[in-house]
Amino acid sequence: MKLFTVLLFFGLFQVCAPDSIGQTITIRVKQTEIRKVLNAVENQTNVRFLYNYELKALKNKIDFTVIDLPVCEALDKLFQNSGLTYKKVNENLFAVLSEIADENKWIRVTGKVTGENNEPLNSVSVIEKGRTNGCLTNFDGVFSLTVAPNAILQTSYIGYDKNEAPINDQLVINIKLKPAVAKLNEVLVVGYDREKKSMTTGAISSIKQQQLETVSSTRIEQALQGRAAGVLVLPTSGQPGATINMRIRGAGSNRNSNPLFIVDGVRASGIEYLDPSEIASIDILKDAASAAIYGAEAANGVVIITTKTGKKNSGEVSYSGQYAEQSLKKDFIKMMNAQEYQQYLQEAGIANAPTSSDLVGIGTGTNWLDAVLQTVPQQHHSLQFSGGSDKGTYMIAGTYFSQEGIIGKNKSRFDRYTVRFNGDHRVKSWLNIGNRFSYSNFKRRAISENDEFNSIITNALVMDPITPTTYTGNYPPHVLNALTSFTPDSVPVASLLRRDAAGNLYGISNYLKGEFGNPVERIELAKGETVYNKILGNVFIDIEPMQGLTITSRIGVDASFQTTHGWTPTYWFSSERLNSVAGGYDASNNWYTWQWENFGTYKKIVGAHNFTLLGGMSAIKTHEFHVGGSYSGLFKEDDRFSYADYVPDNIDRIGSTALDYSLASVFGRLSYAYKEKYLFSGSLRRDGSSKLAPGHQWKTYPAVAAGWVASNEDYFPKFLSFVNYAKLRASWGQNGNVSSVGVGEWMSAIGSGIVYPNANGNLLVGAAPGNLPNPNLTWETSEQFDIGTDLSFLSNKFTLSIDYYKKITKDLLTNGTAPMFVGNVLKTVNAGNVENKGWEFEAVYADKLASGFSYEIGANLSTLHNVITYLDPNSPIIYGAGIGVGWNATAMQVGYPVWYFNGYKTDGIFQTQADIDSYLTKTGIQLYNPKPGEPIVIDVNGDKQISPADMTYIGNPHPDLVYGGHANIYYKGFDLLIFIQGQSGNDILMGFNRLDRATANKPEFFFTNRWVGTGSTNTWFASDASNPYIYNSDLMIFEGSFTRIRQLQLGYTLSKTLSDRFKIKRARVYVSLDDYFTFTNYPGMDPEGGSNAQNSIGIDRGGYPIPRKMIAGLNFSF
Amino acid sequence: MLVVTGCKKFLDQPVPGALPEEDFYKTDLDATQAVTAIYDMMQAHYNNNWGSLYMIKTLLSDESNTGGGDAGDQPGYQTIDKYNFDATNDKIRDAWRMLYFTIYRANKVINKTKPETNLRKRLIAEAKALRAYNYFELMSLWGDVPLVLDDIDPSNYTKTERKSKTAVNDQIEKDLQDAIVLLPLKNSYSTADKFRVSKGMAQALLGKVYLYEQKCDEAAPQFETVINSGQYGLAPSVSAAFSKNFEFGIESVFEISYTTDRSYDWSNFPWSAQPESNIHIQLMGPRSDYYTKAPGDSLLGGWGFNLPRKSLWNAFVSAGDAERRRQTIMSKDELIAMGGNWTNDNAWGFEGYFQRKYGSFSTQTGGPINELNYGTNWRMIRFADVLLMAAESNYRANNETKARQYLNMVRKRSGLPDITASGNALFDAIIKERQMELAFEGFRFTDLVRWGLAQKELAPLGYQSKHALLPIPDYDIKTGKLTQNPGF
Repeated sequence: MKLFTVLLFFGLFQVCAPDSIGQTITIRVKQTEIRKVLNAVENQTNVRFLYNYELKALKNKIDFTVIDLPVCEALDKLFQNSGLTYKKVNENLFAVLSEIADENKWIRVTGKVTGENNEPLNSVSVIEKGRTNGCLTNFDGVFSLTVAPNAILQTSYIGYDKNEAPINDQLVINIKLKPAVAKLNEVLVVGYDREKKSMTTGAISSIKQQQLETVSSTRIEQALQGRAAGVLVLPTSGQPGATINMRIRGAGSNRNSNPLFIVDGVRASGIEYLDPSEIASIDILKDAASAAIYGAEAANGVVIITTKTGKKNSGEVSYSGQYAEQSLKKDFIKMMNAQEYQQYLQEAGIANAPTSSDLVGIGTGTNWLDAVLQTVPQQHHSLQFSGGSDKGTYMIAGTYFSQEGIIGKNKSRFDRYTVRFNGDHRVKSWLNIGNRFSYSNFKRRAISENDEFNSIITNALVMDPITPTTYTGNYPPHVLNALTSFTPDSVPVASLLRRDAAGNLYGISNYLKGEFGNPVERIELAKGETVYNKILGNVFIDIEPMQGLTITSRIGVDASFQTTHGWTPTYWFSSERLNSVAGGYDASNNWYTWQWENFGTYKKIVGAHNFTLLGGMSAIKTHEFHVGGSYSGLFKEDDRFSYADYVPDNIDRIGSTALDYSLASVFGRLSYAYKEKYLFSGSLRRDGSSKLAPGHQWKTYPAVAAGWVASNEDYFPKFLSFVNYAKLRASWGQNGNVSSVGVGEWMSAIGSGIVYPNANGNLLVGAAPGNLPNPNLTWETSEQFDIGTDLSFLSNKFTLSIDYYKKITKDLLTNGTAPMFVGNVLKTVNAGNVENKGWEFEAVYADKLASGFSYEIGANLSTLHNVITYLDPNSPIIYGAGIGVGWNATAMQVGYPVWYFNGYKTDGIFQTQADIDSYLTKTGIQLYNPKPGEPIVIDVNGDKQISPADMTYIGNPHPDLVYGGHANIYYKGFDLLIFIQGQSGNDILMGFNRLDRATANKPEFFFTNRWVGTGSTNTWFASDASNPYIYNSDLMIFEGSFTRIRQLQLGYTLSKTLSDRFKIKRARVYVSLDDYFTFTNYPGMDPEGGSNAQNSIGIDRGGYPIPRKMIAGLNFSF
Repeated sequence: MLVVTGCKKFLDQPVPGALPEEDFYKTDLDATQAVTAIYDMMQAHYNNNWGSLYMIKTLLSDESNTGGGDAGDQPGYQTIDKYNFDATNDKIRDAWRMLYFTIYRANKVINKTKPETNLRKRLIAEAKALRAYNYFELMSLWGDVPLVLDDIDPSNYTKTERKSKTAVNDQIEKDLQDAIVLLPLKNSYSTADKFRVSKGMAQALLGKVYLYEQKCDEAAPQFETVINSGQYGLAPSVSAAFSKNFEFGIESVFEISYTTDRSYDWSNFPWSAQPESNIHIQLMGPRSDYYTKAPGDSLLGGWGFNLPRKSLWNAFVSAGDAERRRQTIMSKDELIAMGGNWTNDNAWGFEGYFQRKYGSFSTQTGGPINELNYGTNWRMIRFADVLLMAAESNYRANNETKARQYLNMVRKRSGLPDITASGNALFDAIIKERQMELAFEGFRFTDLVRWGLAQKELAPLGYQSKHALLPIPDYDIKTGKLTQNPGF
């Protein structure tokens, strides 16, 4: 009403000042609506009209002719007897009003929506509060909307807090939005689009830059550990540069269970090349419906990573750096000392075991873990320049990271350099171009680990404590003997024995031979290095041909070049492990993937109905090239001579192969929201993969989701006013996993590589089908149902999300199981179904007190139940990983978790011969002659004998509860961050105690807990080093639960006054203890270690322990 | 339409290193390579993945103990030796698997190669003889087995049944009879091709099949033809027959070939694949931890498997068979007398003796790493065995003169006096002779079973009647729905 009166007031005194324009117009029309005439005027001049489209008179048809008439006169003529009048608002802006007063309460307003730095925001939805009319801003952030004069404009944009602007006398309303603070207004990056958390129907966990800023780990996957419910991060090892496995909602695939990584919209083969400081956000799409837009490869979930870009109208330089000291808790695992070791082996009756006379003068002997452990540094630096103008933004960053290993030091090392350039530029008001580009170089040296046969770490665990690291005095007889003996190749052993820097001979074990050797010497012998060069990036064009429609075309490249070089010096550990000829090896592996995507998004608001329609296509092609070779007989045992060109060897072996595979896709999605109350989304993706047989290459993946924001209902009960937001959502969808299929695995192809020596010893070439055909091979499909709720309470201080999901992976890809009499292997088949289900909770409470004290407490928790629900009846059991020689230690079977532990089941310890006799009589078991002190083995299959057929389920490698929690406290510039993470319910199989190497050392508790006579214990066995009923049984299964304080960080941020004085924007220093405290009952290496292979999860073969770190760091920007 | 064709082309990516099967088995070269692949699988079979059929057959007999590092070293072999294996035994499973994998490759040649040239006809004949050889192994160790002569469709994986021994025998005989017609004599092959199965091999095998079937009237003439073919003779000594010089030599009827020339070292040895050298020879060398080679000897140290039992030593001694004994077994005392040493009498499976037939001799290996480059061929059929089988068939066919003649040919070579006995005593002499002459060659166990002596000789070691046949691997019971042999 107020506006109206103001306008009238204007109108009384100022209709059309003759001097105002000085422009003329010419119009000749018949039977034309007045509003079209107004359009014509707008086209000929720079005059603009404001009016309400609903004015009836505007639609009256008139005949109108003016020739070269000044605007004011023309307008006077036009409005004469039209029932309309007009008023000048400013120089070129006129308001058109009705002569019927009531109609004038509608008014058309225009304005511009901008962000923090006055950058225009595109596609912002602007609606009139309480009514159903709304619109979207264009590329310039400009909108215009017809509203009631007393209207309030509600502006909502993902990533920004909601804004309400009353019109209050203005026809031009510029709105500046503030970045989101409330969790519910967070932006979620979903497939090919972005969404506001409050409006999503998916189960999506999001981690923001702010959370990553305080993370001191230098791997993104590690940074994710414990931060999102349902996301399990499994470090394969604590070694610098080791790979990390991620599981979203359980292990689905039998092969590759890692999620699909999308970096800046483009599929990436891995994310090890990213530095956490480059990341703006990580969004994890857990439910099928959210992931379904990525169809063929999204069965294990999708992790979308968005890297930082510059901010418009700003400029900033920021540096962050940290230095850490890595170490390991003393005696993290305790092995037997020399005295215990000798006694144990003697009691066990092991041949060739040491006698007490071998212990003279050596006390507790060598602690090999102490001998190889060191305190070593790690450092990380990052420098970023970012900023932009109204027209574009840039971000240029460089990072350096270097980590040495706590075992092996320089021989176990990772160095990484990354460079990034992200740019966006607005070429035209309707055209944006940009790029995301990164180059990284990393170099890795690793020592072998997590292998019970031959790894350095396992050697350090089980090497006998009697052997010294080096000899400083007299040599024992076996060494004297070695010094005078020869290898089968007549090389003097003395020439192969190695000495440390001080010239002392390395210790040689007289007890533990086979694959084993002095671990200190073996570290010295390790000479291998892998260098990666990786280029990853994309260029894109965004076009906005009309309001609400954006078309994007994007070309991405992921190119990785990896070279490996190494050599093996000569050595002698025993007659079984020696190398009398030094040799080298080289390999070069290249992967090159390009991806081209075109997609369009159309957003439309029709009244209270909000539509978003997405459609697109994608094409991906990968080319792999691998070449490798080896050579032996180095001229000198020296790095300089470790290349093939300098080797006087005429048999250089070289191998190479190349592979191509491609994936073509079309996809579409419709999202619909009504009044921010009812949400619906449906998507469809169709994929074609070259990896499958013609006729089986295409598959379609559908998904639907719906949500209901109950708190936006008018009838939402008043007594629930403490609930600020409540949403219920449900989704169903299907996704595929084609990355687990190998190229050509479906076909029965004639391969080469077959040779046979003829009678002259020359090799003949043979050829035969490499495997049985399986043209019906198809990809794995995961079908998932999810129901969840997002809640916010107490003025949005407390947010809570709860989800229940059930995910069935069908057509599980696994190695085929044709009966052997068929005569060849069935490489890959679709064998069965696995079901994962569970609950997920994420809660955060944040508050700021008047005293300046603020805090945030968060927790997440998820339950997991994993079970095989179906297997091809032709293969009711599938065996996975083996341990030592001949033990199938993991298996799959209907009704059991994927890759459960398979072994003998025991039930206590035989105490007396009478016990044994009565057990055998009672059970009728034959040919089984245990002694007191040995475990009571159960005849599981009831065939009255104890045999490998009695091996059965003895443990579950999967946790049934995974949790994380954090508390951040801020007070006057100081902050304290605590972050814990843990899991429970999983078992660990201690797999480094090999049955066939009886003289290997064992954990000390084997000795201290052992059975020493009738009644001494019923849980642990008598000294024994070679009994399969012990070492292949449930006695090697331990509870794997742990809780780890991942981070305990104290920081101080410079106060504003100080910062200003130094012209610094922000500066923070901190100290942190990372992975410092672990609570676990697991007596082996590391409760987190040992998950390298799919079918080997939870087996501790002597993995590299995760170091604890003491960190000091500094971040500042100006 | 354009998009559809474009997509089709985009998804049409080549599979490197893979020729569609329908483009193969067409030319002479294809056929030659396809047959080479059969030999290759047999080579793998006797050497692959620590599941050698040679080891299984030897350990089932009373000749040796498993040995190795300790009771936990290669448990699959250890349980076979102790007769406490079951249908899940990995060695038995792998041996079965490799037999059928060899048959698969032979089937491909037989069914897919068109016999349009003489070369292809001969190659098909080779494939048939090799298929027969593998079925003979299957039948003699497992009894009734699936008779797979062509590709099996997945829908028949669980519908393929075991066929009676008779049916399998009929097929073996048919294959061999077909092959004999087309195969050349051994000496018609070039030196390089002497590894191929020849007419003599097929005849010797056919004779053996008849002998196992107790069709002695039919067996004897087959052996007779081989003996009179002029292609074969005895090497100067047993050890000569097993030396490198006599590989594919005068005594060789059928051998599986390995090479010393692959230059394997510790870093490039294909542990999980199929080495072209014979790593089982290294496995069977005296365990290096305790063994010091005598200065003048060439028997290198190894990993200590396949250790002779004292009973075999005693059998040689009581037979007065000293020369052949020395070429077959060496005692610890002999080792020490020669200047070598052995430091652990309690070593697992050690009864005081070392095996020298398939010895880890330095003369049979190559560089750079001797341990990994043994080129020792497995002697699958040698002329001495043919003579002894001829003696046995003739004895059973009531031609004792000929039986004695052949028996004594073998004895003479080892400086042993002629046997003059007849009747049961002659048969006992043949049994004894086979035990001595063919020790550690993998024949003793099936001999004892077919003679009905297994219970008597092997029961003290744990043998029960059910062990006359190996269990059908549990894997194929479950995946192929085969029936199991009694007792397993």
